[in-house]
Amino acid sequence: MTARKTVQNHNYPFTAIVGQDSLKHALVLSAVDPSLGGVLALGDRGTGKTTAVRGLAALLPTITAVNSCRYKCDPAGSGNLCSDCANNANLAAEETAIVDVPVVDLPLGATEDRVLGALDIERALVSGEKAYEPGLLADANRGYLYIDEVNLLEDHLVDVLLDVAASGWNVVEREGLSVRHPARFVLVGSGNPEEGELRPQLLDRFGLSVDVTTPADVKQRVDIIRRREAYDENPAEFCKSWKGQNTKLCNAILKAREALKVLHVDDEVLGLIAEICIALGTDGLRGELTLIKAARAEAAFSDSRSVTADHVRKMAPLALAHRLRRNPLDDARNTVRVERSLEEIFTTRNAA
Amino acid sequence: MVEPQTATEFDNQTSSEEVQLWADALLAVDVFALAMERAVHKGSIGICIKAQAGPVRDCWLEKLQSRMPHKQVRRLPVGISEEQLIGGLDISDTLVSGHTVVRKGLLASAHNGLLIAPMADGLEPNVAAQIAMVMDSGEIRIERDGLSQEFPSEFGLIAFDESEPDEGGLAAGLADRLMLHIDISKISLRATKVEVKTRLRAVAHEADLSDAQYEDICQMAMAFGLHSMRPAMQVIQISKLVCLLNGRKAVEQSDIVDAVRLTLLGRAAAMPEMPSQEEGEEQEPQPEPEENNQDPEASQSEQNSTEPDETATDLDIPPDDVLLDALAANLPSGLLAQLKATAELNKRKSARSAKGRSGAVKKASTRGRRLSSRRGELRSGNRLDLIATLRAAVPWQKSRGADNKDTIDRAGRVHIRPSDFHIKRYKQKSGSTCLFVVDASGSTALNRLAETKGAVELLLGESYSRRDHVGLVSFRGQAAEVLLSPTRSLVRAKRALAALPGGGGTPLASGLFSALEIATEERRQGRTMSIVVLTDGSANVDMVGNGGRPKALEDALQVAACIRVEGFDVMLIDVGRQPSERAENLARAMDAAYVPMPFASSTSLSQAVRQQAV
Repeated sequence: MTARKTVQNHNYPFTAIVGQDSLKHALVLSAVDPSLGGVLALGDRGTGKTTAVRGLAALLPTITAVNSCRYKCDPAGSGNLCSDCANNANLAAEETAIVDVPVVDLPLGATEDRVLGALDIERALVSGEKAYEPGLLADANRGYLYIDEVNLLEDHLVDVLLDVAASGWNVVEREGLSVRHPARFVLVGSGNPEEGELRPQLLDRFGLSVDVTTPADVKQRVDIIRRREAYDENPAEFCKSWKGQNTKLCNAILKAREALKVLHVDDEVLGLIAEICIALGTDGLRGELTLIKAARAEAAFSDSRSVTADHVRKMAPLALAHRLRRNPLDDARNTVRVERSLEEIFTTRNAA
Repeated sequence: MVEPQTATEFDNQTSSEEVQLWADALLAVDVFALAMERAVHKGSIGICIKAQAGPVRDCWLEKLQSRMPHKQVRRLPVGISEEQLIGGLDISDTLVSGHTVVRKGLLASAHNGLLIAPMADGLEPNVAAQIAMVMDSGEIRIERDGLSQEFPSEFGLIAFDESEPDEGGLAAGLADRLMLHIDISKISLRATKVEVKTRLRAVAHEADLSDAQYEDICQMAMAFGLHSMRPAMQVIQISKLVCLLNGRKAVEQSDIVDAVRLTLLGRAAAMPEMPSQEEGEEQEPQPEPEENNQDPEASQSEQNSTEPDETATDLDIPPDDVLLDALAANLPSGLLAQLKATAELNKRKSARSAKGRSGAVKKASTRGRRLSSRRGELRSGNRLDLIATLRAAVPWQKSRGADNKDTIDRAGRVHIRPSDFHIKRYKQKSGSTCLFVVDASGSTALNRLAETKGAVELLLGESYSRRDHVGLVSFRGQAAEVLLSPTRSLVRAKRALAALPGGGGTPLASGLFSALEIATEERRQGRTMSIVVLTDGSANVDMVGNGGRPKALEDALQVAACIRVEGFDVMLIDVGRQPSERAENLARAMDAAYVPMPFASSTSLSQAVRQQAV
């Protein structure tokens, strides 16, 4: 396998991003609970979507992986294991390595064989050997897969990605190969809906969605430019000055991950969540499940002992806005529609 | 846009304007060259020049290249494939050498050089997006054909925008990343002969801006309707470069004004209120009233349609007056009116230029039903059929072994030549396009334009769930207008529909003809077409825009017959107050399904469209 750089040395620090609070919040929660199902960032050009996702890489805590395993399996045996590691009785004794959480970029123009993995052509042609060359999905295992301009990606590639993201396994049946390997990752997509609508089934698969817009405040804009210039001037120095902030956030995420384990959601809150989803008429149950998880992650991150209605209310727009059925006669943004319903539900609740 | 003036005035003014524009174009060359030399930001530096091919453009390009004589120049052909752009596996060399050989794409081989893109407005959306990404990162990643490689890719992109004023222009994502935007399309060759003062070579390394200047620039970018962060940063960079070129170290107001001219004016989507603008408007004569069919509603609705723009500019924060004064003083007066018109166009562009921006059509399909393999080249995402390739190679093994005795392989390797390659082929069911042709003339506008819009919205919702592409043509006044070329973006369609003004005559023939043109083009691209015409069947403007009912109706029926011959699926929804024979006749002429709107409940409408689209 060719060595590939997944993390750049000096990414623009995540905590130094001005504004874009909901995007940052969604990304942080996806780090707290990776099973949330990914983040979709839709919006204007030049809003720092890409910067935020790449910044997350530098921030996340490192992971331990089996050294010899090309899928970075966990030596402790947690999560999905590849067939070699699963059959290895002495897995815990294997040599390990500390690696950064992988953040794999799926560039535009990547072909299916590189995404899924395919027959190693060189070995097939030269020595006639039938060998599997893992693709980007294998690299992304236990980390993030980032797709910029997700609406420009070919439909069938998107379908495959969503399938893998949901199941955590990549199954390759092509060119006489039959391989199944773990590919558990958080899918982060970004795009501009002006450049092509996303399909509803695609939207539904993302856990959280955020609308990103450029700040209209001049002071904030100047701030953005100033920081960017400082970063461009000396990336290393700039990152150093934000290291403290990044570490703080990283610790908060780790703490929230621990807290998540003991946090449970009581029936009243579940009832509220069901009520919201019925009122909004979201298709299927994915909305409910995501909202439950999101509210838990939010409670854990905000250091709260139980999940309350406030947590639900805060997370509902992120978890549900992209799951509403399209109403061509209603021009309001989906987040506005969610807010409207929430307002109604909470007013009647408070009155009761 | 073009102000009628007396001949002498015209000559004097244009020549001074042209000289100014040419001076700006040359300043842009200096800035571009310095930006390349200093590598002002990570990644590539780009310039967008609005110009048709011609001597002026050649002259400009010559000036640019003479500033950077050592840069290698590459051309970006407009129809470039992803394969050629990004690179991939060099299959012949791989076979000959026995190990994988990477073929660099254009983006990688343009590293450290200049990349010239003529007709950049025609680039495929995926190609434009790819270039935009590489311009940001400064490197190209190849994840294709089982390869995974990175190459540095930093270049100077010179993108020629050759679009007509009412066409789309550059892909928005790419345009956003280009630092300079200049227009030399209005310059005559004569103006290029005028001596322009040469600038000093920049000596100092860094120029400084004050806090207030930062704020001014941010406000300025927003006032011009550019909400992305990049244009503001580009103004800052250019201001600094201009300042350095002027041999100073502290940025002055004139530098910022120059920078705004070089980068914001060309792509402005709104115009801030300029001090001298009122005068310019006074000089501008009212458009002559057209001879026929200009009824009161038409002018009324025209006023309506300009209203949102005014409110939009009101919303923007008024930028610093001093800076605007300076900018206005700096511009020839004729230019202001022109710029305002351009801004207006830029604003509407997004609605019109949907040309296939969503879901780029892949010619080589890689999914669907398998067909038999064919001999072919391993390019652009084709998949090799290994078995068929081997089968093709087997009969030649003996002779190929004999050809090159010295390299004969005793281990029993198979000799495969590029000519043996067989490519898997698939048959893919292509998408469908639903084209709406809406009568927005005075008669409909009075009665039922709102209902018609409602019906179209309903149908849009339907086509959305079926993942159709949708397009929108309206006809009113003198001729038809394509509001939206077929796209998959519902947002766009809705916006175009909402902004549709009503009033004027009924050029039915012209509307149908536009539909016919679009439908033919869409079908050529392999999509299934269905056309939905919403009209009451009356017509009073003929093909060429003259009034008169009999001729108008005759023309309409003639175009309808053409549509029938082409065999498109057509549905005609009669939006008249009562179902009319006229509309039914027209439907018959097109072989269309006829649905009178008074009976068209939401469900029956959508059912009718669904049946059509099967």
